[in-house]
Amino acid sequence: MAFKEPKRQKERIELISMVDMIFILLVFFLVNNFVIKIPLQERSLYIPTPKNELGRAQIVIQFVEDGQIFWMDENVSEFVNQLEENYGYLSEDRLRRRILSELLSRNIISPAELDEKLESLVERANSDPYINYFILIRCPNELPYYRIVNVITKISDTTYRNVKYGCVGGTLKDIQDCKRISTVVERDAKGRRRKNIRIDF
Amino acid sequence: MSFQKRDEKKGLSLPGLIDIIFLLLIFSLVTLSISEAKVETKRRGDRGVEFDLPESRTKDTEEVDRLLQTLLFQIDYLDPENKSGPKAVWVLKPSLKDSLTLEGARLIAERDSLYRAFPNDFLQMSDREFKRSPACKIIRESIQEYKDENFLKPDLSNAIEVRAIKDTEFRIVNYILERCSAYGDTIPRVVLRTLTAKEAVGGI
Repeated sequence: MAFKEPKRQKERIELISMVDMIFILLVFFLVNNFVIKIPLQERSLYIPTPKNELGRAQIVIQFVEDGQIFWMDENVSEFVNQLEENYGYLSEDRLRRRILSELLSRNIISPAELDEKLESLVERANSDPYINYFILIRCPNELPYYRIVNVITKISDTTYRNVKYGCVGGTLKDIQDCKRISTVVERDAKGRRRKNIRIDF
Repeated sequence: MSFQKRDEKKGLSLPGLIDIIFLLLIFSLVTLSISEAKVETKRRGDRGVEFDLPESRTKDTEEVDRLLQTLLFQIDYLDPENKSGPKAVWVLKPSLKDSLTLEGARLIAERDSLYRAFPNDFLQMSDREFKRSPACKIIRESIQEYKDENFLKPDLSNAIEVRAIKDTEFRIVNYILERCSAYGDTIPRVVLRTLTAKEAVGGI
């Protein structure tokens, strides 16, 4: 007696599970792509060499050994002028110490605050091509130089390249031990009289 | 005649599930190791030795040439395996034909003893003592020699390069800056080598 061979079912690809798998792989690939670190390449960053002349800057960033930063900008001259008026009766040395202690209590900032200030500075520079800033970065000998690179990184990407910078060695103690700190009246590029702060080391 | 209805139970197919899990596992392992290897080679640079440059995520950088273009001071640990040991400076000079790579120049510097270690206590030294150290002496003399031979007049393209590990103390970098500034506008800038994300400079 002849037996019928059972019909073999045709082997087919399961469409539903295939779509499932493809989607899982797609999602996985996308997620993985975002997690992957961006590759780095070696590039060069320029730093101008300091000039041997009287330094002028709109902003002074002084790194302090404990990771904090002493920040001085244009508002400081106004504040120092006010102190000079209020404490004009003090001797020159006591006035100097008074100004410095007031400045140190107000103008020491954290790295996060520095980032915020630099961001707003870059915004201001990008909004007006005619504003020019010069930032003097002072760094103590002991600190690693990447701290300076971090600051330069934040201020160098300006649209009109109107934020310039320079780096010199120096400590907060140098500023504290300065011979004199006072406001002086000078004329700016447009011929307007304005008060600037002057530090004699 | 009554027909028996056979309901097949719908459930998870175990072999299929294992297949997918293994597939995902292999895929994740492969992608992870590839991505890490990629970053690592970029970090280590071409010479195959770890060189931890500072990162700068800015567009304001320029691509470095594989060939040495100007005088370069490489600052690293004297023994890269000993991170608590002294740092040293290697003086890498380009060849006249501009055909020397960083690795080649480093080999020549080692062959010709163009490297000096900074004293362990260089941060405690006075400026005078520091400037008298052999490492500062070789920096000073190399800049002078290179400037006399190559930088005959002030030009914006005159530059000295510094390739220093990121925890290099500012005193060392500052000394190089000061030495360059001693020649006025003849050497108007110093180039720092940094690691910059490819994304920041125009895409992967």
